[in-house]
Amino acid sequence: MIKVKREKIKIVLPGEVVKVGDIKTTTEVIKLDDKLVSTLIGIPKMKRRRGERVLSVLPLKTPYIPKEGDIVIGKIVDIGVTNWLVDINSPWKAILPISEVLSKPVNVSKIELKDYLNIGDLIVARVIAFDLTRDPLLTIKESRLGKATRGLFLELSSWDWLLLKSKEKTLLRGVKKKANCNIVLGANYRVLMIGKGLEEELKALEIVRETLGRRST
Amino acid sequence: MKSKLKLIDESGRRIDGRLLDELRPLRFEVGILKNADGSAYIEQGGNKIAVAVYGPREVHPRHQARPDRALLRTKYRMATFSVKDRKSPTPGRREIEISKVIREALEPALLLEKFPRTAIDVFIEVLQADGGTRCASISAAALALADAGIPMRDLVTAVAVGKVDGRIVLDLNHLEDQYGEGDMPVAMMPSLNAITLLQCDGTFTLEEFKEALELAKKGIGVIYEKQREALRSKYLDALKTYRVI
Repeated sequence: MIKVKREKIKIVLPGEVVKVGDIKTTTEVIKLDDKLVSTLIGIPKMKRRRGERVLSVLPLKTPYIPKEGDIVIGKIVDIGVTNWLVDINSPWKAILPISEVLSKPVNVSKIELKDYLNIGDLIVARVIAFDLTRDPLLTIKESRLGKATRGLFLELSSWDWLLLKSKEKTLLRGVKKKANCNIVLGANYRVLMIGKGLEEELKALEIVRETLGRRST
Repeated sequence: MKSKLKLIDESGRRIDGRLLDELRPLRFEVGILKNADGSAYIEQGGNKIAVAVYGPREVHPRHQARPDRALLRTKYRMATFSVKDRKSPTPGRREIEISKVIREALEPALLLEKFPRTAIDVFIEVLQADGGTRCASISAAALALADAGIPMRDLVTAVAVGKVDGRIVLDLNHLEDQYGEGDMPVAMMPSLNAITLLQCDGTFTLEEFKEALELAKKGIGVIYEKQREALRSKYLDALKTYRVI
């Protein structure tokens, strides 16, 4: 998607007819009679899905909508009796129940939840359930998930994040090799760089910047 | 209140030198505020209005949340220094009503059902008022909502038409609004050719009403292009900062 030449870039705006005809579309495109209308600011793109042509618009800015299976980077914002509330950069706060943190059943009256995760802690988690009627549910009971004890945290715009994601493999390899760091691309447009110390992490940040290809900053 | 003030001269020019179907100088800017999720600014004649959009976000107080769609909240506010005589900072009857009509003009364009149990807040600050602020606010609010990445069927564009010295004119200014015979704000989703707001104050014959509506559609077409241009230029500029494309 990033191989488009600048002169050829076409941005569509809300209400703009992207195409006319009977083509399958993703959710950011709505059908009005035979017109396919974009609902967001973005770059139109034709995809192939199971042999069928699907019209989509790559949004330049959009709120994060949780999806089952997404790896997200969250921040603990509140502690309940049997759960934590987590800010995952989406319109809804996520819930992290005790059972998805500890492997054994525990007596809530005997433990302090804040001894495990306190307000302000960053976690890498997976969305296990979300369907718009209830708040998203998280788990950290998998390998590579859990509390981030150190690291450098970035919050990107959805477009910046898409750019990074499209180069994920090169980025992961580059950061590992040149900066000796691990990097987590959370689906919620957040990035976490974890290394031995700040120096390595700053090096990783430099690589991220290069990947984004920003001329300034 | 009728006065002897002459609003249209013999050559058919209006009090500020415009023709009957001429808009005031118009300028939009998108993304003026860093802390808001979306923002826009409009200058239309003497009007200067800033709009900020926050959300979708959690609803407080919680009981206001709708289980099937997002709650749209708008707050139209005039700054104390926006008019000649200092305006009291407390929201008055007029501001509350305008907040409501703006909300209802924007609602049909938004796909609110995509964000159930959340709220989208639109804050409209009139920094300087010169007639037709509700229309200018709607046009700017639509841009701010699009800038926030909220899915919309179309942008919403608004303009006021009115009757001045017996003639139908486009885009009333403060004097024409106050001393004219009628005032009719119209908001539309131009691509869908759907009207989302139609108010009318004063007396119009059926013919005058039809003429006024046609004139409003014409004006809205021009403003719509300016809105699109403002959005497009902001996002193209943003893309240009990348070397990769």
